[in-house]
Order: sequence, then structure tokens, then C-alpha cells
Amino acid sequence: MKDDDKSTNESRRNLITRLLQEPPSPENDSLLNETIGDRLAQMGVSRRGFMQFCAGMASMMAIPAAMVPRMAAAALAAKPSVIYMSFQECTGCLESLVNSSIQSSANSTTIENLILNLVSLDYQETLMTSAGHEAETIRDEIMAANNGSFVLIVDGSIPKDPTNGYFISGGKSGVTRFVEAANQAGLILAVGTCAAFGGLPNADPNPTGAVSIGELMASKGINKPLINISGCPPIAEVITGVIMYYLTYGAAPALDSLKRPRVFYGEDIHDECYRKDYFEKGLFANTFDDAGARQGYCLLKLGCKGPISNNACSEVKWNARTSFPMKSGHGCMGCSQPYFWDGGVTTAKANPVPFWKNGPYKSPSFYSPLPASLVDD
Amino acid sequence: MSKLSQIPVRVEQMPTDDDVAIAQSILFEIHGKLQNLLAKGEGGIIDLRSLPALNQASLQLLEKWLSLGEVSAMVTGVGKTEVRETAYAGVWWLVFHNQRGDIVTESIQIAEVPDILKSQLGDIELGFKKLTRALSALEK
Ligand code: SF4
Ligand code: SF4
Repeated sequence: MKDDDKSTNESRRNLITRLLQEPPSPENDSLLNETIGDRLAQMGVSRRGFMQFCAGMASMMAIPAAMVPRMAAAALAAKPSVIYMSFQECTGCLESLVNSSIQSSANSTTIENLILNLVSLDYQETLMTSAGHEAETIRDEIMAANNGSFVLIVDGSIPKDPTNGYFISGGKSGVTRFVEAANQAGLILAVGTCAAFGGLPNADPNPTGAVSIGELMASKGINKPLINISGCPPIAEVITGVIMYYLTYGAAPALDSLKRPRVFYGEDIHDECYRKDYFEKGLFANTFDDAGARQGYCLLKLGCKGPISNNACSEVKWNARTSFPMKSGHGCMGCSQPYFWDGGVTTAKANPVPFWKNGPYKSPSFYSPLPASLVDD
Repeated sequence: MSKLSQIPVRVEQMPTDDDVAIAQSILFEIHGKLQNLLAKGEGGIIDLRSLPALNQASLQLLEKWLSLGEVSAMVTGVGKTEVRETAYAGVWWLVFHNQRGDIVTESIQIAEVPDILKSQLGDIELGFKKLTRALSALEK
């Protein structure tokens, strides 16, 4: 074989190898049209791989297994635009959401990482590179282009009086910025206890006059579907699970009386707690380091609020399903309930039920035991 | 001589009457879905993790009754999924693991081929596109 032929063969071989191994990207593949399926392909995840993920997700959300192909198809075809606006908050909610993806190695895809990359997170002040007027312009353009269909995720609560001078950003009050976005959104997710119930900014003496997203919407007559995903912070899988559900069904899941999705907030922490056997036998830890605590006895006397707190911690767990507070030896603090920071955690049944020694808004202690009247079984 | 720890040991739980009844009810459900598959070409899926009464003992019993068939496959996409045909053709046992290896869900699908084994149209299109591009680059 001549040298010329040899080098031609080699360059052909290299070309084919390169073209076949190159992951698809918008630049090299006109087939990609920015659906979720295409974004996944760019991440090296096949449609079949996504079906595997959906099977787990459906099981977690009690969606019938027969719905999995529909769930995958609906999610793969969607191009949801998400605008994530932060108000008076600590960024803990966003931290919860993105940390779970940081945990995964560069090429692996945890459930949350997938969803975070799936939805088009078009505006998030902390994560986006642009800032100032440029960022605001991008947001306005996206809202206009997706009018009525984008998902608005909000964390933090908002001072109800737009003229009191608190929380002005870009020359606009929190109320004005929220109302502009909410009026154009298709669905509003109030993520975290601050957005859902007022949380820390709303705690006494509430210097900024902060209110929850639901309360603000009611006072402004905004009639958009609202889902509260409470928790301080909420579990990442719960946030992404709700987005998945919306992609699948095009509607919000069934909600409880506090507008939280029943699939995740239907049970209280206590129902699924692995220490419940000890609770039922009347075996309690009295201090954090006594023999009972070491044996895994119930933490009720150490202030556990599990019996009145609705959340998925003991089932879905935290940190990529590693553990949850009671498993690590600490009781539930009731972070997913209204008035959490004020020391008057509210149950969904009675609203509100102050139980700490001096009533709500005074001398709160996360370690005061729940009164027996609030612990049913 | 092998030590006990080197011999794979599986703890068989003695099923109670309730466990037998639950496993049996799932057999009835499988039977009904198989009948439907034969009559209308429509099978179905039973999500084993969503049945709260189904404990380890009844699950083991069901696995024993259904036994193993001719096909077993492993899907390695997002976590691993084990796919086994049982001794009853058309009855497939699926175990979904997450990326850490924990079981996220387990189900029985009644179908000629379980959905998870089929190539998805979007993936086929993408593969076709890639091959087309590589081959047309050669022609140039
Ligand atoms: S009181 Fe708390 S620690 Fe005790 S069983 Fe209930 S949730 Fe678990
Ligand atoms: S265990 Fe209680 S305090 Fe802890 S995250 Fe869950 S709901 Fe919040």
C-alpha cells in the first residue's frame, strides 16, 4: 500500500471515530431541538435511561407504574421554562436543591441533577452569570415569550407594604417584582417555609412586615395555582418531584389544607420514624447522651416535633437518601410547619397551636417537649 | 473448608398465612393480566413497592413460585435495572436500582417485551443521525 493511501485510511478512520463518539450538541446536530430528551442526550443519558429514572420517581410519588411511559414521554417532550426569584431568604433552599447535584461526580446524574438540567432554569440570580439590568432584561423577555406557561419558583417572604422601604431591588419593591412575574406565570411554587408560611422574616417582631406568598397573592387577587413546598430547607427530591409531576400531568398534585402536595406531606414525620417502636413501648431518651439515646429510644422528651410535622424526611431522607434527623440522633424541629421560627409550630389540624411554655412569639425553644394533647399515637 | 461467611446464605423467612394470602392475590392479578395480554394484547404492571402489605416473606414466596425463565438482562443507564423473565413467558420481574445501588422500586410487567428493554424512538433517531453524519462526511 502506498504511503498516501495509508494516511488517507488513517484520517478516515479518525474522522469516523470522532464523529461517532462525539456527544450530540446543538452545534453538531440539527436534530436537537431543545426538548428535555435532547438535553438529556447531550448529558449522555438515553431516553431509556430516563425511563429508569421515571420508574423510581413514580414509585416515590405513588404514581401508578403503568404511568411511567406516559410520564417519560410527557417530560421528554416538554420545554418548561423556570424563573426562580428569591426574596427575603437565606439561600438555604437553593443550596439544598443544588447541593444534591454537586454531590454527584462530574458525569453522573442524580435525580436532582437531572431535573435541574432538564428544566430550563432561565433566571436565578445566584446561579446566572449575568447581573443587573442585563439579568432583568433577560427575565422580562423570557416571561413575555412564555406568558402563562412558565413555572415561577419563589423562595423567601415579601414585605407586604411596598412603600415601607424594605427589600427594594432594581428600584422596585418585592411586591411589584413578584406581582409582575406571578401575573404571567402558569404555576407558582413557594419553596421553603419562608415563602410558604412567612418563616424567619415573618417571625416576631417581623420588622419588614413580611408575609407568605399565599397571603400576598390573596391580598393582590392573584388567582394562579400555588403549591407550597415547605421545609427549612425543603428536601431536594420533593422540589424536583413536584416539577416532574407537573410535567407529567400538566397540573398540580393533590394538596393538603396548607397547599402542600399530599404525596410528600400527607404523613407526619412520626408515622414513618424508625424510632416509633420505642415510642409505642414508652421508651424515651431523657438526655442526648443517655443509655436510651444510644439505644435509639424515641426523642419526644428531647423536643421532637415529629408527631405534628408533615414532611417526607423519614421516607425520602436527606443527602441523597443517606439519613434524616432522628436517624442521626436529633429530633424533628418542625421546620415544615407554619410559625416554625416563632416557637408555635402549627399543626395542619388546628391553626395555630402554640405549645411552648410562654405561648407563641416568646421564649421559643426547639427542645421543649410537645404537650401530650398534641401527640395522638 | 469454607467458612460460613464464605457461603452465600439467604435467610428464608417462614411465611405466615397472611403472607401466603398476599402472594396468592398477586398471582391472581398476574393471571388476569396474562389473560388480558392474550385476549387484547394489553398486559400491565404491578408495582410491588406500592403494596404495603407485601413484606419480605411474601415477596420471597412470590419469587419462588414464579421462578426463573430463559431471559435475563441488565439495563445500565441511570442506575442498573435487572430484568428477568419468570418461568411464565410474558411475566417479567424488574428490579430498579439507583446510582448508589439501592433498590428504588421493584415491579412485575406482563408484556411480550418489557418497556425498559425496548429501544426508544428518540434514541434510535439520534443514532441514525450520527451514523448518517459520519457516512456523509466520508463521501466528501
Ligand atoms: S416522637 Fe420523634 S423520635 Fe419519637 S417516634 Fe416520633 S418522630 Fe420518631
Ligand atoms: S425532620 Fe423535621 S425539622 Fe428536620 S427537616 Fe424534617 S421536618 Fe424539618
